[in-house]
Parts: sequence; structure tokens; C-alpha cells
Amino acid sequence: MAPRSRPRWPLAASLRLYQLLLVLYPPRFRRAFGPQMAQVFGDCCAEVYRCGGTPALLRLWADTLRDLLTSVPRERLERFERPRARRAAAPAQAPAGAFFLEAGPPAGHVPDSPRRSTMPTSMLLSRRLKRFLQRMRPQPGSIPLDDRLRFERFTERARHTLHLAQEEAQRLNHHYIGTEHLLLGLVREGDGVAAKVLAGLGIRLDAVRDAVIFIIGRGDRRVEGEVGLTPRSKKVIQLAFDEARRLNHHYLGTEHLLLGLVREGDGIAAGVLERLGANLDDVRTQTLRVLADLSGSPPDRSVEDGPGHEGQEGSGDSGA
Amino acid sequence: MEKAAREVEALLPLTPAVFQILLALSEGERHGYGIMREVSARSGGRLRLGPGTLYGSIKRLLADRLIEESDERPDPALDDQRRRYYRLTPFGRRVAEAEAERLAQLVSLARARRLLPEPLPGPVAGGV
Repeated sequence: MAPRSRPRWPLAASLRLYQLLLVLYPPRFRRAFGPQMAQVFGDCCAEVYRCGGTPALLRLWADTLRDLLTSVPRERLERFERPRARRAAAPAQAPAGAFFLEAGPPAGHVPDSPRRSTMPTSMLLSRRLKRFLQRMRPQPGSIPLDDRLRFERFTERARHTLHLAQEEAQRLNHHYIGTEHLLLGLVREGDGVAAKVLAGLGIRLDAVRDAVIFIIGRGDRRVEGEVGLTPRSKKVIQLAFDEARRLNHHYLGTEHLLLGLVREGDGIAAGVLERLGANLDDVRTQTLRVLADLSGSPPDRSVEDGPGHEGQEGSGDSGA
Repeated sequence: MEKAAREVEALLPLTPAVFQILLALSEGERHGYGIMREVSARSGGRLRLGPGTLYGSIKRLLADRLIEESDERPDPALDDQRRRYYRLTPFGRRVAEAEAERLAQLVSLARARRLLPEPLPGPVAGGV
């Protein structure tokens, strides 16, 4: 799709710089909107960079600096000038509602939906994950096997990783499992190939957490109810399956998740890894090296995240 | 009734950025980046809301109950993290209408003073 030839570092550097500049805003404002502002800025960067390259990115920066110059003082000074206006508008809340009840709700008005269910997230995760995996169509390049067996292909450690990813999302009050949470899960899991590779590259759990908090921030509301995978995380899992297929592995282990993560390359996790000084290519090379070392003596699948699903091997081979 | 009308009046005139955001949301809910793109597209790229202006306005609109958060979900077109969507409240629609009326009055005044040519009957009759 998009031309991949442009180097990605200007985007990553821009986003990082903008996140630093967000410090200029008052803390309350930053907490409420900082993550969204960074997201929007990242979107803009990606778009102009794709279309116009570095000159367009510089023009965007010029616009953005102007934006900072006008909006930072406004947010900082608001405290002093705003209360009067706020008080004038505040009574609008209740009476306005009453008024519109009288007048009848305008067309297209959707009433507030009640808060989401408070089902344990672990149940939701595994159900949603299973549903996602079941829906995944075998594409050219993914493992051609019965879709229902996909979740079964996850090694214990890979499953545990997803569980930990979910825990990390909840801990940060994030309403989704993004690539950054997958990365946290992989580091925290501790025993798998991925964890070893990451530890070998000096990636520590607390450093990743700090980086994620720095980039995304903590959510301001406790997470209740559904925590779903972001489309990017789903893509990572799809890529992980593809990596497993390429390596002729009949299971999906933490190493494949890590390979998928770096191959996707654009998510927060990739940004965090680069921020912590781990080159994505190095992560990949290192993972493959560890796998090669391990598969030297015993057969590959039993070495690490032993899949424990030997019985399903045949179906994996059928279309390989 | 009286009171509600006064509350609408109290918020006028709206800043261009705020009015543009309300216009962008009048067609349905959008996330921040969606609002930004819509505003930029509608103004032929002349009005570019930076993130600070955008979310500063969103903050005030939320505080004044002109808009509300609707949902947090990924945008299928962008394939990315989850995004927070905003939508117009009935009160917000009311304020946007009042602002549009105010601007229409100004425009007709400008016409009367010959600052603006009379509208051609064609497009209006055509209902475009």
C-alpha cells in the first residue's frame, strides 16, 4: 500500500518530541487529552509524511508550533479568566435537559448508553480472542489449518503472555490491548524465548512500563468490562502465525509473537523498543539466533514453549 | 424556555474553531482526528486545527455540554489504537443552529450594504 521506502525515524522522532512538548500544558489538561493529542499528531505526521515526505513534515511542525504557542497559554491562563464564563454556562446542564424533554429530543439524538457490563475481563479476553482467532480466514501466508484449532496452537507461555498483556492494560487503565501491552506481557512472562531475547537486549519490565506510561499515559478511569485487542494487535497475532508457518513450527510461541511484533513495526511497542535502544532488526535476528541455538539439539517445538498439542501436527502439514 | 434560550445566547458568538467542530459533528460522531480532517477538508485546507486548539476546544465544549463522549473504539479505516468518539448533544445542536442563524443575519446585512453580491436564484431554487 503505502510506499515503505521512506525511513521511519522522522515519524518516531516527531512523535517523541511532541510528547515531550505536551509537558507545557497544565497537568490536568495533559492527563485528560495528552494521549489523544499525541495520537492525532501521530496520525497527521503519518499522513503528511506519506504524501509529502520530510518537507511536508517540517511544514506540519511549523503549524504545530504555532498551535502550541496559541493553545498552551490559553490552557495555562484559563484558570484565571474562565471561572466566570463557566459559571454562566454551568446551569445550562440541568435546565437544558429539562427544556429538551419538553421540546422532545431532536431527531438523531441517542440517549446515553448505560455503563458497560462488569463481566470479569479475563473471561471476555479469552472469549473475544477465541472469536477473533476463529474468524481469521486462512490467507496465503497463514497456517492452513482448521481455524478453530488456532487458539489451541498457542503454547502455554503464549497464552500466559496474552493474559499478562491484559493485566498490564488493566493496570494502566487502558481499555484495549495494544501492541505495547503485548510487549509488556512478553517481557513479564519471563521464561519464554521472547523474554530471554528481550532480557538479552537489556529490555527491562519497569523500563517498558515507564516508556508506555510516558507515551500513552495512564487512563483516567478504571477499566470495567471489555478489554479487546486493537486491530494492530490482531495483526501482530496474524503475523505471528505467519512467522510460525515460515519457520515450519506447528505451535505459536512467545517467539512468534515477538517476531510478529517487530514485523508489524509501526505500533507503540515498536516505538518503545526503539526508544529503549533495541533495534527492531536486532530483535528479529536475536530471536532467530536463539531459536537456532535451541533447535540445534532437540527438535524445535519441544525446546521452549512446548506446544503440548502433538496430536494436531498432521493438520498443520497438510497445506504446508 | 426563556432560560434555555438565554443559555444558548450566552455562548454566542462561537469562535471559528468551535463552530467548525460543531459543524463537523453535526453529521454524526467522530474522533479527534476525524474532526480535524473534516474541518480541513471543508475549508479547503485553509483552517487547520492543531491538536492543542482542537482538544482545548473539545474540553470547553465538553464542559459546556455542547458535545459529549460517545464511545471508545478503533476506527476501521485507520487500523489503529482505540479512539474516543464525540457527538453533539441536543443543546450543542441548538447552539450551532443559533450561531448559524446569527451568521446568516450578518450575511444578509452585508448583502443589504452591498458588501456581498445578491445570491443567484439558480442554486437556491435548485436546493443545492
